[in-house]
Amino acid sequence: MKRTVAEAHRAFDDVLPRLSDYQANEGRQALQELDQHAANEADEFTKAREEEALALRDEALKALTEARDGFESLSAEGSEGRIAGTDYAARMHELKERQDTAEAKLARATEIADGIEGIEADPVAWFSELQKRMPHLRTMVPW
Amino acid sequence: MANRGKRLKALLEGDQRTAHTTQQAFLKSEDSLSAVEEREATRRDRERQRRDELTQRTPAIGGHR
Repeated sequence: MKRTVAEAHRAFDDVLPRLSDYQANEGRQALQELDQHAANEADEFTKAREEEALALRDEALKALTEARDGFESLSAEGSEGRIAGTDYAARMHELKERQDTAEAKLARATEIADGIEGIEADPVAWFSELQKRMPHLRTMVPW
Repeated sequence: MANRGKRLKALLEGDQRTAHTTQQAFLKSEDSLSAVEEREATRRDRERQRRDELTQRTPAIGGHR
């Protein structure tokens, strides 16, 4: 029968009292393989998500640093009276937008990191949820 | 597992320092903008005052022969 990994575990526990030692060992080994498969899938998925988060982080840090430098040079120009108020306000607005975008990217990267942490805490649960949504990923088990 | 989530979160927590520094720089530049605008307003007031004084001192055209 085709089952998710979590379903396979539950169903195995149900039939276990009726199995011979040999069958039980075979079943446990099959479950181990299913768990390993789930862990491999989770590993591949989290690796890709990590790369995405790191790319967002790099972009965010670059933009935050540039915005910081921009604000500092603007403050200096302002205190030296080298810039008109309207120009100052326009540049400050532009830098603030960059800062806000960068902070949103850092927040998105944090959401991804939370997601990764959840998957790593229970890869079998994650993969089973995926198998529920995508039945073709379910695995055939003899019980 | 590779503990990617924990590692990533630790990095991102460290990045809050950069975000904070940028926010401080923004607040400083906001204060500086107020100072620039205040200075410009003062200059405009002085110019207006000077113009008013000049107008008061200069007789109206045709007002004196």
